[in-house]
Amino acid sequence: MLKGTIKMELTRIHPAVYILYYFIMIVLAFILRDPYFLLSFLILILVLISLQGISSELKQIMKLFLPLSILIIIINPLIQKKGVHRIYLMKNFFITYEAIAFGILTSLALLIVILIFSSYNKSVTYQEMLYIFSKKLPIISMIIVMSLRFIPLINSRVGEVKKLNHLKANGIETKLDNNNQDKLEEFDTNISDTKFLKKINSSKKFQSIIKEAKIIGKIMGITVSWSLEESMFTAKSMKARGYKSYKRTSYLSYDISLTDIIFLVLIFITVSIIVLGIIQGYGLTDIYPSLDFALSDLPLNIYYFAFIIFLLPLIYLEIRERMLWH
Amino acid sequence: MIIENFVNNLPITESGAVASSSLSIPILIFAFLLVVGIIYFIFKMYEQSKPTVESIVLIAVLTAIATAGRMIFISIPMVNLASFIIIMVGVVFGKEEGFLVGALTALVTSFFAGLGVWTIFQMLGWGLMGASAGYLSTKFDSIPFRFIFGLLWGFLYGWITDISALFYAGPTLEFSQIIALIISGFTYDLTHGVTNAVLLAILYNWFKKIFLRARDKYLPNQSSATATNE
Amino acid sequence: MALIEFDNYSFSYLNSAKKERNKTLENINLNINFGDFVLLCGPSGCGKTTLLTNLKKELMPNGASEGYIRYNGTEISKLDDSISACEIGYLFQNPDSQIVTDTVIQEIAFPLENIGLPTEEIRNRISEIVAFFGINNILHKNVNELSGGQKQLINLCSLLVLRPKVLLLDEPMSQLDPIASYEFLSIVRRLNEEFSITIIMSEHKADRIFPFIDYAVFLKEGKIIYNNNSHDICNDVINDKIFVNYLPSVTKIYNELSEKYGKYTNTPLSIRQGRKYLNTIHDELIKINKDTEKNNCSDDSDVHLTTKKYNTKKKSIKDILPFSKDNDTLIRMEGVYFAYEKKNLILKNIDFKLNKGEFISLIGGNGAGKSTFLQVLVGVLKPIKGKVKYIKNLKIAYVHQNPMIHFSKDTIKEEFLESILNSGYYGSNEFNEKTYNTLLKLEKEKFIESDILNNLKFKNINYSFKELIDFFDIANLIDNHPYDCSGGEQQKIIMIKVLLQNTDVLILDEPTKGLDPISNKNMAEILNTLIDQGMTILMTSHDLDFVAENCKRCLMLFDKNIQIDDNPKLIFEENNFYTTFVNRMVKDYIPQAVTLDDVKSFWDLE
Repeated sequence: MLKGTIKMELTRIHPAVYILYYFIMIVLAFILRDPYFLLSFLILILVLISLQGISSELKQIMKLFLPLSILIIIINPLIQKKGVHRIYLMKNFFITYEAIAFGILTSLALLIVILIFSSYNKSVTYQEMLYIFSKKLPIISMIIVMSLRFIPLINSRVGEVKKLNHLKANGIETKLDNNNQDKLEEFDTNISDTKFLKKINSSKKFQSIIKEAKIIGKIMGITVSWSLEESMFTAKSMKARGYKSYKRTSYLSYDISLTDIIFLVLIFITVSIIVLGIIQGYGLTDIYPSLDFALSDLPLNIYYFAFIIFLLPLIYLEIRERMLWH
Repeated sequence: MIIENFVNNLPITESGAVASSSLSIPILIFAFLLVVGIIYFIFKMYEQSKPTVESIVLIAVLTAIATAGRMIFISIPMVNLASFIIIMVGVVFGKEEGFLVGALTALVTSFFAGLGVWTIFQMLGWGLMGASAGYLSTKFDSIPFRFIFGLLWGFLYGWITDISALFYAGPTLEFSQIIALIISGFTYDLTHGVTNAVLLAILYNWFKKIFLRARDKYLPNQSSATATNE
Repeated sequence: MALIEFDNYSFSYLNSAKKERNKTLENINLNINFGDFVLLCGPSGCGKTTLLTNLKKELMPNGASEGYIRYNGTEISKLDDSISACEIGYLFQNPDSQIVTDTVIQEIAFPLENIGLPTEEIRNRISEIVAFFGINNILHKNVNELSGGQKQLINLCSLLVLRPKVLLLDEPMSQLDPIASYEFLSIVRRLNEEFSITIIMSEHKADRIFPFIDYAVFLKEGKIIYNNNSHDICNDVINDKIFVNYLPSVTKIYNELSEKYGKYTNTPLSIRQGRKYLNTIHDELIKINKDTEKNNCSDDSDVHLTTKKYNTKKKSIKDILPFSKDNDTLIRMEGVYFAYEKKNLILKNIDFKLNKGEFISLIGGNGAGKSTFLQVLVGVLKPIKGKVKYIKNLKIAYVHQNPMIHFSKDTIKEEFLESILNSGYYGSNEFNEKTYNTLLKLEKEKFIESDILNNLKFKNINYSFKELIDFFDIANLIDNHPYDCSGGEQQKIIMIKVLLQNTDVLILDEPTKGLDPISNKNMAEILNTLIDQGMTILMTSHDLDFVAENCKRCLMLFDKNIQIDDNPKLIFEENNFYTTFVNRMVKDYIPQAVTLDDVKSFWDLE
């Protein structure tokens, strides 16, 4: 389903403010390389996401990126030989303590960015995104809205066509002999008579792929021609209701509220302080050539606190939302 | 032993390390903004060309079809019908439509699967896929060409979208990360390429007919213009 | 001055080869006044849609026109953009394909955004329409969660927010089920009555609409043949073989009776008016009734009188036992259960036998599971529990509600060839890939006349290929793309494909949906011919008249099971609400009369 269904009901923040806030968060995640900063970042983002509700697509994304982060952690020390603290695994073969630390920190940053996006997808609905988008690109955003409407329609059509795929002869005739399922109808006689295909056909590896592809292709082909045919009426219906490709207004309006202004001021102040800190090197730990890191080096300075305050507003709003409802 | 040889032969001189770390965050952010700029520019060009309502609807339907093709068969991960549809759109309707449908498919997919940095590079990858198919449309009648084109784009698309992962690399870009990406993506890219190639080889003619009929209906001016050229 | 004036208007499409002869509209003269409710009727292809699209500047097709159409004194093509967009609304047939955006509120707002109203005004207008139609609860829903009727209502709302003066409705109810149609129609009527919105609507099913309209326009081959108020037009067409089919059943009965018993002040159009007329000749009808009843009692014991009820679901032990065999049975459903999702059964413990040569219809309310029943029967869906058994070597054909889904070739010719390939001739000496390709290249006439095709023998029909094409009357379509044919023609093409494939059983899902009365009759004739030649047919339908006139056995689905299984005439005789218009009209006099022919024979009106 489409994103953005679980939202705060009692607080409304202008989508542009949201987008700005999340953008700064991502840039910070790229730049910051301090274990304390990154760990605090990770914890606060996790708190925010658990307040917003952990979604199933997060698991999906994690599945894709976990192998990548593990690979980075393993491969980086294997081929990156910079760093002073060497750990010998074999006679001539060593890895460096710095390279391991670098791999871990990189993976941590990667995880944080994924989580930020996941949280963003919870905060900003696609309608709000399109609202911002439509100011500059009205036609493109119209196209996006229309495809969002067509996708479920096409899905249901695919469902109908898929059902008929169990039948022979373009779905007209029933194939009663269940043992005969391998003899799927060749739906297009033109395609199998090319020499090149016969060559591929002879290889058994490809045969199952081709069979699969033909079935899927047949389902899609019928759905595509059906949808293209029906959509002529969509164009007519748009014309009939006075659609012109320029100068449209919107039924949505997002006014700047007091919350937005407070939010913006907070972002401005904290980000200024954080940037000042970054210029002086706070939040950036040099890893190469030598990582000299001790747990006792707590970053108890104004820059760190500014960073923490920068991350808190959404968590505060989510908690207040909960309190108001109960 | 193999790993050892591999490692010893790698160019990890000091100068090499310096060269790679110069590819740091500002450059990547610049690359990101450049991609955003290119896509915005092409979108804006389409807007300024004052397209007909039919053309708008056509692009919307094709985008929806490609997106549905991406999502319906999500249970069979090797099948990526979106790429096939995008290539076919490029071949039949032209490079501009190919780019638009490709880029928009990535964007619309992100509304379902979640938005990320990768979205913008998917837009670029699929957009270029459609546009390149449009540029080379005349050569598509040869089956070996279709096969190679589809296979190649499986990898090209993988590499373009992998650029997004480099962002996570932090302030210094490491050679190791590129290797990690290519290794982790290899099987996916290969299956993507093979599916493309197979679909293009066997379904090309049928889908071309379907799309040509649509072109005649939706864009009568364009199809009559190309008809005279042929 | 009339609101819309057609002044000797003719129109022909570009690209048509014979320009002069092929005028889609010819010399149309018509005046439509403010607040009129006009019904447009005519067989498909008569120019109804062309007439409607010519009234809408944005939809005007490419072509040459003569004469004028004026709206409020201005020619349509010279109308101001915003006036044409706002004041003239156009609604299409298919509710799905006209929706542009993904949520209801966005769809209603769409036209308002187009004409550039400020946000405040847009919201005001939406709030007004939402209050009027009471659609608060679906306002933020995704459109694909709505039913067909709700979708069409949203489409209508999306026109109404523009505050139109004229609504052009192009068969808006043809894709809706009867209940949704009634709701839609009552809204249209309200708009006409309470807001004096001018309505021009094309529609095939006259029974429901005739009572509300001011006048009807009957078109044929681009010309206005009849144009009169709703009462008088019924008199005008009394001897017209085509248009008499477009009248409501009540009027048809009245026309028969009035010849014998004299006319009423106005031709009755609704059941209410019809019953009033029957009251005036009450005594005479009672008299005939008594006579026929006497006759029936004495010599015709086969006719079921009211004392005999139809079979409700009663199973004898013989039916339940699996080994009991019946030679004529082709398909058997044994204790079939089906559900799409857990614990939400659609079919429950169904036992059913399909016997050879039967013509069965499946009726029932919306969502009773009719389509599911068919799909389980043909094996598209697998039952969760229970079995569907077929006799050996049985070939079943299944035709989906939307015939488009069955086509994948560029021409009808090729569709036929494909079916012949599938019929088992493929690979034989008579028919192989080579003949396929040579036949494909033949011209229309040569293709139909070709010896190869005409020498083929088909199992379930005695016709040769050419006779088949002639019988279905589609010879001139054979080079077209299947999508370019009308719904009725597509149904016919599928039937031919079915016959070419030598199938024994034909399963049809709503073959009468959206057909005009002539095509409807045609379909009945075709199906009956097939039955005579030995085909077995099972179909679903919402068209009770069609069922009553043609089928011998009728299944009514209710509460996940077959509630009634009997002759449709008996079912409708017993039913009070779910019955034909004819039966509703004469129920108190002759409850067993379900079709017009029944009434004629009972009251001796030939």
